[in-house]
Amino acid sequence: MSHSPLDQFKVKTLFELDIAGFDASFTNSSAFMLAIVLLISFFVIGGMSKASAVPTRWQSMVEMVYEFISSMLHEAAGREARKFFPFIFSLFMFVLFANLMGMIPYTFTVTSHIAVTFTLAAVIFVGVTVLGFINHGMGFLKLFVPTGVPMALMPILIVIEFISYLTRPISLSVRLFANMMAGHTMLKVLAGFVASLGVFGILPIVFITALTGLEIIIAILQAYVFAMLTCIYLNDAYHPSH
Amino acid sequence: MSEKSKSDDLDKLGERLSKARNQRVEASDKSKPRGKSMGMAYRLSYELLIAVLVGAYIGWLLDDWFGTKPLFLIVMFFFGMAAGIINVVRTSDQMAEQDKIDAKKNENKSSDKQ
Repeated sequence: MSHSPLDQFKVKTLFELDIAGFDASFTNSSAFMLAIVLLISFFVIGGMSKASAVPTRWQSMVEMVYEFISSMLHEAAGREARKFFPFIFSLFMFVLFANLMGMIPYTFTVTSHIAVTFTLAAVIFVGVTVLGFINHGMGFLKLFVPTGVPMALMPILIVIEFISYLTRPISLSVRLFANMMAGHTMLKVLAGFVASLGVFGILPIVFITALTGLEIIIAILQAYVFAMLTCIYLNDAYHPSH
Repeated sequence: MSEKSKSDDLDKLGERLSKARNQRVEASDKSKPRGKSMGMAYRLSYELLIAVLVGAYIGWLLDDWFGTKPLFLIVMFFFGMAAGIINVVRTSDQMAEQDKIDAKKNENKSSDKQ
């Protein structure tokens, strides 16, 4: 068994599955995604199954997350975006649980793969664009036309705005993937120093402990940023003018 | 125990409670910004970098289609830089707005307690 710091990101096939020529094997990544969904369902349903006016700790935890997402969506995207609450809530919970679950040793971090984060971001990007055209028709293209600009500069600015729009799914996915991957690799590299430094291995251990705390903050923060940016993009689909 | 000393005790307890509460608020204020500001710094740099890369990639694709090898790559590279700067300005605007909202919320919270 190798001990490369990147070994933790390896996708292993648990059992093979072939659907119409596509490799749809059940991997450790899929297993963890399934576990995350089950865990979220357990957390939410378990907390609310015996809901009462005076909440238990568990119930108030679920309610806190609900209110947090609800107010975030309201502030960032306005009242019309309310019907996307289930989507934003699921998205936030999925990314949050994936990030936090990756902090447990010997687990697999689903969000440390750009294939996963880019899929999420692409769905959001295409969805928001289609929604914008449904809501505003061709008026959605106003998003690319800044107001109060001389006609001569218009073509240049439209190109720039267009590129700026296309960067959204990429920056959204790369940010999450790079944060998770960098953090986990750093922890593994430092852990490698512990064995090779002998007695002085205590120094990296202290550092790893501090870094683990920071990583947990980053895990929560990145889930928040991911959901927050989705809300901001939704806002553009409803109110396209800058 | 007389009535008077009872109310004294209560006053003392109230004092201690408010002291502990203030300490807690201070502590949470201190511990938060480190991870948050690091996240903000990373966000801005990704924003700038990715726009340049996306611009250059679009240029490369256009070159492939039209067979004008380095022309669009170079032009779109600069457009990408401009888009990156726009992204950074917008992101920092958003962050400033978010900070304002957060500050307002904290004010409301602390005034609710009193």
